[in-house]
Amino acid sequence: MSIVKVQKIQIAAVASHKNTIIEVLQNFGSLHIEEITEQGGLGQLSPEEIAKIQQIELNHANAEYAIKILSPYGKKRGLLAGPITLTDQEMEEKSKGFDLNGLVKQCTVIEDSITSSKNDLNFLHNEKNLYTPWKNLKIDLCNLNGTKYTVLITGFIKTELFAATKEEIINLDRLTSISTVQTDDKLTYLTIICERTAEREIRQRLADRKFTETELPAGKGTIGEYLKSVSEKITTHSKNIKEQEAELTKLARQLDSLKIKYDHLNWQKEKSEAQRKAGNTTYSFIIEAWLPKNRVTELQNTLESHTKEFSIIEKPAEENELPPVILENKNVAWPFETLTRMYGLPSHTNLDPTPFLSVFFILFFALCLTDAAYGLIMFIVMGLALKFMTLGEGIRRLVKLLMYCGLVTFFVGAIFGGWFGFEAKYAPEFLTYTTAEGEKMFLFQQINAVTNPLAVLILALGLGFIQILFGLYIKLVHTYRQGYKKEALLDTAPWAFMMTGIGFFILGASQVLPAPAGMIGQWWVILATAILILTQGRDKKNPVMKLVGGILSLYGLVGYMSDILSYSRLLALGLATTIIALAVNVIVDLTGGIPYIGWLFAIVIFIGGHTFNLLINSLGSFIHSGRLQFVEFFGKFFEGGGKEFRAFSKKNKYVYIKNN
Amino acid sequence: MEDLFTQMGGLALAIAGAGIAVGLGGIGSSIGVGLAGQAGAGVVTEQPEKFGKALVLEALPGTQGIYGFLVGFIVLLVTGILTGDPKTLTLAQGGQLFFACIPCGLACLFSGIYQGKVTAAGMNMIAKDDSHMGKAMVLSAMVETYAVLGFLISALLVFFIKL
Repeated sequence: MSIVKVQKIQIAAVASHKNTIIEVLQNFGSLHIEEITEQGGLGQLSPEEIAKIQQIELNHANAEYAIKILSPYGKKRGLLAGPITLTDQEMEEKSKGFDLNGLVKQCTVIEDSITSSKNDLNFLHNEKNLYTPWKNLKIDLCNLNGTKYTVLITGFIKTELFAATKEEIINLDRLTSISTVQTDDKLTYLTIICERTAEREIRQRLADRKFTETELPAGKGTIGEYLKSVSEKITTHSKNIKEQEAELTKLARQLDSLKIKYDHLNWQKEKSEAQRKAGNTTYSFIIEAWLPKNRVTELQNTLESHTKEFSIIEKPAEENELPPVILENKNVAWPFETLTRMYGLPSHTNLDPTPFLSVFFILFFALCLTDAAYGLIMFIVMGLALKFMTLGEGIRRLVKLLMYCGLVTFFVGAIFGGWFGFEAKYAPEFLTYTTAEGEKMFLFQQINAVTNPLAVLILALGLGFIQILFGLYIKLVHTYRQGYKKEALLDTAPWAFMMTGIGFFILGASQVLPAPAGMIGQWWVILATAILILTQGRDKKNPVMKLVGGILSLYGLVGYMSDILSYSRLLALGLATTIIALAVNVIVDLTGGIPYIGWLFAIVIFIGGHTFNLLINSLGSFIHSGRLQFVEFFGKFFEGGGKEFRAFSKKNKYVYIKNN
Repeated sequence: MEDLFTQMGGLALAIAGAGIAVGLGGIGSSIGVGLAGQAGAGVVTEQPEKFGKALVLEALPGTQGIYGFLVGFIVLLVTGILTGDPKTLTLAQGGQLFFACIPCGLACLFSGIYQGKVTAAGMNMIAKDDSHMGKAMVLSAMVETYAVLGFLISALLVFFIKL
């Protein structure tokens, strides 16, 4: 339930054992390897080793490329089938016989062919669109250049301007011939044959009328024939793309094997990175790494079973060096690591907040959702997912967390009487009881958030107060233990004292505790104020400034107040769930009244509406309950910024390794 | 003017209030979800596998519309419009309901838009590294706080105004 103590070690061994030792360390799977820089006077890898590493990286990149190309053509694995599951040995065997280079070569060839066909198709479609209006032009394409004395201009103009333009040009030079090739409402396509001497003048007039010249393709035969050949090429290229895609679909059958190979290459890549980080001399090499303190002997023994030619030294951490952080939470607390990791790991001197936040998080989640039926559904669905699906570690953690959340929501929801937003007054008699105030409630229900939101608000703020006070005490104990006794006693303790006093005062004043408590609380707060004024200005030199600093520190109270008020969101989100559920039920009721088929709509709306409510509000509950931990709670005692412990191990993206 | 109000009666004012809550909340969320969705589409174009995450993020600025809808719904509920038996409200009561809807409407309008912007920025975070999903969600939820507070006050007001 804490941050694991780590130890820095140095492994030195004979160079000839390098591969074996790195392999053993990878299987050991609990080392965070640090890079040894050249400044230590240690050499780089040999050229052969570098070439080998580069080969592995190339293969890795190739496999990644092939997966990317083939994935859209492969079959999707069913949700229940889960990822590919193999043992270590099966993985080795399957990846050994796989012809990666062959597959990659095929993929490249096919992809090139598809790309070039697609480019050609683009070009051809453009040609087709451009020249289709000209299909009735009977002139042979090789005759379009004109003669010694005449010029041929082809192009189009707005139909509404055509008549006027034609007249103008004919008036300019009677020998000009203008013929229409194609015309529609918008555009008219024409050919103009004129004398070379008049060409400039005519072009000028045409430009004024926004005539657009079209350059027809060079070649032999009519434009109709040219278009026909374009169409034929389009068919060929489309066919080629289809064929190549069929080929890809065929290749995609190897996708699973490819993924296995990829993960296997991933292992090798990890190994080569470890090699890079090691320091080398001619005959030996050194690896520096962190590992959990209690596993040093185990590592020693494991290595000894392979070779005796090595040594492990425990090294103290250098100054300014941050040890990587491993969280260790057992059983029930483990799923809550999801939240801690979401925020970022604690720094190595800090404590793991996971167990502290767990109770609050789950309680707040339940208060935001407050529907027993929703809680039960969530618990069952997540439970089934956990049992029947093979899930990666991160997802399994989240699913388990949601399962717990569902369970707690069930109990909290029962206390709040939330059952799909039904109202107790319409429920069957045997499920309800009547309170002393004459209000009808569900069995086990203690409070009705809709008719008595004030009580829930007080509950929410009260819980917030408790959590913030708790955070202060954690900080007090932790800083004291860390050896910062002065800070703990003079900074944190007065505030913890103050807040406790305020709590006492409120309980007394609201007559929850017997009357003297209010009196004691009052003096307690006054004493705490005095202590705060006396301690908080102590950094200042001038005695007047000390006093002013102390008084100004009381402004911190506003911060605590706003933190506590932030917990009112628990009421708001709880109400939101209840009222949406209520709205769904009202609509169900209305549609249920439609004769004959009403019940069908009613069922669909009931299921759809409540599913929507469950999804949107559990998302909201998760985020807001999390936010209360991150902002209000963590703010009191937590420092993030820890460096994650990245174990040197066999990491997989696609394959799930089962322990043999 | 006074005539107009007297003729309309309190119920019309209450309905206008419901309209304000639902309408402004809806505008806020539409803009917010729109902004987030555009950014999300960009992410999904490059990395289709992040669709699920982008969708969850996109949904975040959608809650303002729901809060607005809820306040409107409670107004319909307390005035008895939903049960088909509307109460006769005095002008004062109608006015109270009308003003009670404003905190939610305004808070949701602006919080929806700005949450959308923060969420769109969060999309960039997941585009780069989707392990930052949680952080993106929390940053976005900070903006939602004020919509929650607005909703809380409106809901309490509407519930407790004596009719």
